[in-house]
Amino acid sequence: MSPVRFGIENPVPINLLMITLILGGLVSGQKIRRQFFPEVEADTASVSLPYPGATPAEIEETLAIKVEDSLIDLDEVKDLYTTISEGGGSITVRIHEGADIEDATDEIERAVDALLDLPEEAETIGVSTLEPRLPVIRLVVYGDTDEQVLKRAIRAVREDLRSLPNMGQIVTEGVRDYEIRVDVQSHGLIQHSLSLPEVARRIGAWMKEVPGGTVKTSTGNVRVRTMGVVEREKAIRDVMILAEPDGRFVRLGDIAEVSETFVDEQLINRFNEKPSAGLTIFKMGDQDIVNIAQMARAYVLARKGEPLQPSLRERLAGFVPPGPVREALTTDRLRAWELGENSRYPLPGGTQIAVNSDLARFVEGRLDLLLRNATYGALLVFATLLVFLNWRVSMWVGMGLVTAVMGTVMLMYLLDITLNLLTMFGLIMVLGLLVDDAIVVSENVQARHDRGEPSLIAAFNGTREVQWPVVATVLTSIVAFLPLKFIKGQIGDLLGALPMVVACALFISLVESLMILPSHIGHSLTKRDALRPGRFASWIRWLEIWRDRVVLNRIVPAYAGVLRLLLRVRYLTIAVMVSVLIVTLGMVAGGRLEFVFLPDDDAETIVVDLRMPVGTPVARTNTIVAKIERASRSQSETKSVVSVIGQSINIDTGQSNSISGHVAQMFVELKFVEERDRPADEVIASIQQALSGQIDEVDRISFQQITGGPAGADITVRISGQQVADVEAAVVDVERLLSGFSGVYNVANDNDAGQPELRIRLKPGAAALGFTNAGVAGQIRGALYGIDAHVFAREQEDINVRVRADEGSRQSLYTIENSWLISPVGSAVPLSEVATIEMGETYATINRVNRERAVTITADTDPATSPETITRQMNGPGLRGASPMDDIRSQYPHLDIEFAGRQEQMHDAFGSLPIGFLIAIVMIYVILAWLFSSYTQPILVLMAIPFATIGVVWGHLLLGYDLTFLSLIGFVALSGIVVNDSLIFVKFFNTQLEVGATVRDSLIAAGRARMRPILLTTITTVLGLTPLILETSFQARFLIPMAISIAMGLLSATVLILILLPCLLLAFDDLKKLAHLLWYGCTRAQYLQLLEGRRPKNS
Amino acid sequence: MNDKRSRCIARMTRTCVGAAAIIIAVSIYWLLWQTRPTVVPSNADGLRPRVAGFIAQRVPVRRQWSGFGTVEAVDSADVSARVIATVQRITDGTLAGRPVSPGQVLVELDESDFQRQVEMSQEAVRELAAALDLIELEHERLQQQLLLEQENVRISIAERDRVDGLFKRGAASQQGLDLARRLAISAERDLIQLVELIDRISPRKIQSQAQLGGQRARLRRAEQDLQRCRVRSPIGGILQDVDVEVGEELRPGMRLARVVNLERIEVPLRLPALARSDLAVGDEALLSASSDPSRCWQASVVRIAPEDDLLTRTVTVFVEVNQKHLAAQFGSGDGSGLLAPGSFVSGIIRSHRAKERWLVPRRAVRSGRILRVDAGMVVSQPVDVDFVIEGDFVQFGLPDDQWAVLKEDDALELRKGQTLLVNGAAAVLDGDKVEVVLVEVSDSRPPHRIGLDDEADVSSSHGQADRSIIP
Repeated sequence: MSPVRFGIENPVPINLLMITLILGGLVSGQKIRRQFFPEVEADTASVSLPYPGATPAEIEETLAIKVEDSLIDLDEVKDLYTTISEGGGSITVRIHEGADIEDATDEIERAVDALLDLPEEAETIGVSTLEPRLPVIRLVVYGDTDEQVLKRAIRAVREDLRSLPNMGQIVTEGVRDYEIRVDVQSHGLIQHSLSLPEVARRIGAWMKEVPGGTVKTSTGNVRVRTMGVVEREKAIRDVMILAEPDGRFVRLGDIAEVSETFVDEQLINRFNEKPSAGLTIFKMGDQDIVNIAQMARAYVLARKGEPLQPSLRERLAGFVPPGPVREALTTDRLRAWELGENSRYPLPGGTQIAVNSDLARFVEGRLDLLLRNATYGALLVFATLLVFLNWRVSMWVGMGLVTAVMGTVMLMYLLDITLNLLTMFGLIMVLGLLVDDAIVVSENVQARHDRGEPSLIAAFNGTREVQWPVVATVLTSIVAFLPLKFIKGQIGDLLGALPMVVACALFISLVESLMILPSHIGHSLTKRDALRPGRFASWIRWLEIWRDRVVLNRIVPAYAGVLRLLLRVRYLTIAVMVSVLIVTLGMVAGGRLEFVFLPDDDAETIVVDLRMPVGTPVARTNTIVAKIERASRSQSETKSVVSVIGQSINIDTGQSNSISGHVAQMFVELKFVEERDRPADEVIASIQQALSGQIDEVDRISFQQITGGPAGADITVRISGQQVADVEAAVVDVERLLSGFSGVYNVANDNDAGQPELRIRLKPGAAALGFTNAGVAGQIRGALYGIDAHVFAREQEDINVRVRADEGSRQSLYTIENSWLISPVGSAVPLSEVATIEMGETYATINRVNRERAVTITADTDPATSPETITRQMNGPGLRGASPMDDIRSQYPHLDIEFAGRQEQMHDAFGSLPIGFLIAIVMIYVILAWLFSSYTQPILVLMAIPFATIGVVWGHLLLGYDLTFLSLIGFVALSGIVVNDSLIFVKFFNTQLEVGATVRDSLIAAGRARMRPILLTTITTVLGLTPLILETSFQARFLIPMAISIAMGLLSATVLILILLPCLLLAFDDLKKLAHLLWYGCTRAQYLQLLEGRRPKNS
Repeated sequence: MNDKRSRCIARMTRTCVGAAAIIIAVSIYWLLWQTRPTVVPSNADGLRPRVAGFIAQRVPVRRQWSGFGTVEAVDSADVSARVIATVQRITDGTLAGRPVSPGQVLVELDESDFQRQVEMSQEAVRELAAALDLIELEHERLQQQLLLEQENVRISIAERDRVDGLFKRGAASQQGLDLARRLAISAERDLIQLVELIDRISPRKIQSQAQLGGQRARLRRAEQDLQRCRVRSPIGGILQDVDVEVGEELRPGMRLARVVNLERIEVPLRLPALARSDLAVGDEALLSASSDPSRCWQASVVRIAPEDDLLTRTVTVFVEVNQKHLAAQFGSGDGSGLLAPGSFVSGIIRSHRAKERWLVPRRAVRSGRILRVDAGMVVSQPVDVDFVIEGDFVQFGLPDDQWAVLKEDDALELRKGQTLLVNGAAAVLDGDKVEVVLVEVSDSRPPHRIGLDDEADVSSSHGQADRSIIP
């Protein structure tokens, strides 16, 4: 039994199936996991290289190169990206596709463990799989209070949040670790002939607590323990450092200041110009990003003393007495609010709490966009169906749309596909497609019923007649999205989720249109036939008759007349269409329609990256940041400003660099796009205007907008090579090239050369006094960085007792140069006598790619300049024929000079898209060939695809949008839809041919018969996307180019299918005839007659 | 035929129209391609980076050196017991840390024994003096006897000679002669005996005089011991400590107290041996004690050790701090506010030679070059740094406190008034055109630090901006 027959004959299970899908969708919608981006399988491992106090050059030489050398030969390793800054570095190891990340991590760990000659001061090298984790929301506690109070407050908030179920990973920021610091006076050391390492050793010896074993007595065992000095400031101050036989002694307090304080890191955090401490909640594993954000928001509301706007479920929970029912009704959000209200840790006076950087808003916004557009789109589709079809049919098609969407959500839930920005994007995109199958089926059923077939028979025959074309359309649509699976790189990782969603949606729509819909339409029409028409039904009936008269008696004949005329001048028609196509392509090639890989839409967060000249003290950087904060907050659009002075994070990777006083980063959060008049561009310009002349000493400052798409500079060039000097020279050349373009600004590089360095080299004579390099280095390192004399655990963190020289002895270069060392025999010797001291330059940070030094150059473009135009000109022919980039490459043949970042993503995406597209076309061809039983017709059908670009291009031009990568994705999807419409047309054309009609008549008949469903599917698809195209929200801006591609491309393709496709089919028939004439010397009819005449009569 | 022709014409027309459409489309395509918008090169002059600059200047500079040493007092005294006695009383002012004047009684010892000794000695002196008087008297009498005995001898000899003559002439008898002779001999013998007695008088006198002198000496000593029972401070100064208690039995040499004079103190400062060529007697120094880093003392080099210490690679420089006027200034007289002997101090010594030198902030020197701006273009200038100093130079208007003194050789092409970039590591390159923002020189002078310029008052070294300076 075919599914169609089963559906029609068994309405009850079919209804149950529909109800199951709808209810399943509703329940799944509540439970489906919501994320920002699809889960990406980890393909990188991270190797951390901690070396406290060491310079980047030192770490590179002693650690990074050795580790890189040990890793490069591993089979699993594809690329190595090393970043080194003061105090440590990390190597990001990209694993080959197909390799198991766990095995690869184990291999890396083994290789690292095998290294022997590593510096003693370096800490243990860590190897871990780089699990992608996404920051969901950030909470800040801020106020004019001291750091200790803020730390206590943020810890209390963290403890509260940790107790909530389904809460993500919480990481506190902006608070420094505790430390017991021993600042030893250099005078004291010299006076008592003690070196700093010796002092540290003695402190450590006094503080050590050693278990001494057990005394086994007759009454029981007694443990023995030698107690160390209590880990308190006062007790440590009394530690005996020096004791003479005559009874004289020196306590630590005599020569040092002991204080319980914070780690001396040059790190300042502020929120709205006030000291702050924050925590970021990361989504880990299968957590729900929206749920996490809702809990955090509710908790903050309660801590602020504000009420929660309860949902219906939460209201109900309020009425139910405590128990399992109430527990079931209580949401995580409500629990969080109650926790905040009853928190055991009140916020300290003078502090406030706020929510910041709420990434879940993107997901919620897009979910809202999806629901809104789905609703509007569905209403428009339903209205269209009402106009063109029977209202009962329309209602069931509309119900079919709801069923398909709900079924898709259920299927996604069952297949563990999350609801994220990309899958939601996919759902919006296929919204118009979901009704296409239903329209084709229902229109055919209604047409048959209108021609007099009984309703159930019409439902069965009508469905059967189009079932294979419908299956083929679903298959071609799914296949059309396949190229997205072939896209490589970051974009490919994200877009890879789309085909799955589309496949789910189309599969459900296929089930709906072949099983559920025929049953409903058949029975519905039976009821209509059986019922005596009432006044309303009569009015509707009259309306339908009038509509059919207009459509069938006026529009369709008019179209048939035009088609007949155009078929007569088919070559001219084709020539005109080709001309239009040429002009259209000219608009793209001539730059009238700009191609922008990813559009710079308005943003709600501006990231300000500030870099002072390398070596600038944090206090000076802080002063500049304060100016930028004031300028930012003076803008009416600014909601909040978060500043981190002394550290910055890479927006692309989320990894933060080591603490360095010359860098700062600010996050300026603007009001929602819908709530302000000026876009982020203008706000940035206004901030820059306000800062004019105030921050001249800044090395570089960049304002980057976070738009929700992949972050990064507009143009990125990476130069790598063994010869550092060549790399630096090439950087200069590339920067000059970039600066030469108008509209390009913020040209910068990450080459942090210029960090002043004091180099100390021992003189040969130093050995005579017993000095060694290691000994001197230990004393100097101890004085500046400090020596951890003892480590103990308190307040959930490891606290170091750090011994170092007092501030006066280490904050000035002059003081360091004029410092004294203690020789092994206890004499104080001037450093300048045993060592030469010179100033040099080193790198504040070092970047390496695949064992070569690498420098990345970034540049931004103004809104009027497309980065792709710039890169095209950089790669285009220059004065000497070769491109400017090739000129530079030829100057530095040993260097790799490549575009990276956005351009690399584009390269990855475009590099793999054509192959995928070709595969998809071949697969569509196979499907069509199977359906048409022809080798040539599929080619004609596929020829409609390039002509669809006419609508895509002019749609973008008319609506004022640039062509983006998502436009191309839309075009890929469009190719499937265009083929669908063509397929229906050709299938009907073939049917007409089979019944003996001529080619011309068959074309006109197919046009007459398929015009309504083709127009209907086009109109429904276009109307389904129209709300999205007209959407003005910030969330929609990113998606609109894709919607334009589909909607406008489909509009043009529809015209082409109704006009150009028949002309192509007829022209092809002409060609066939011509070929026949040339091959056989007669027409096909003559040839058939000839064959008929030769055939024996008895045969 | 007409139909055929008209059909042919129609086909040709359509073909031409179609071809024309394609040609027009291709032309439009070509036109669009040719007139495609391109990014025009920017005006590089309009994109000059703004960089901070300062005016090159020559500034009088003195080199400075730092070292360490322990303060010693030039004048100090240990007050010891000089007699064996018991402490009877410690005077009221005898407390450690109290000022004392020269001769001030610190401790009174039990003097009764010494009083008796004086009295005994006085008696013995008197006795010896009396004995001496007796000898004088005896001598006087013997002198008178001597005269008589001499007369007697003369007479006896004359009588003998007369008798002898008589005898020779026989005028006398042998008996008579012998008698005369005996009488003469007897007289001579008596004279000799008397002379002998007289001769003995002188040694006896000397002996008695010596005995008297010795006794008198004993008396004086006894009197001195008596005086020593009132122990006095030999010098003015501050009592460092008092080591005795009442009733304590003292022996000579035992220290009762220590008095230190703080008016003149000396510090043997150990400096890097490299400093020797820059040092001279009279150089100024600034001392700060580790015990009180908030204050500094001015001093001057009084002498320099001739040899370097090989074990520590240092040269010892003796600097003296004259605190005479400070005692009055600090009023209390207990030495508070004065640099105390025994303190471990650090010292910074300014070289005596001041010379006008090219001075630039250290951050302006990168990889052995500074960046100067000529006609808006950056030009890098190789430089060698002679030495570095620390301090504020308001004439530059920069907040820097770390400066490099440039070595002046033929390669140095600097002129007064030239513009130099403050930060040599700024993201500008040789040949770049830049817009220089000159640092404004402020009138408000930040606190100066030592060893910076001749004109500036010496204030504090780095990190000690709040130090009070004790000139």
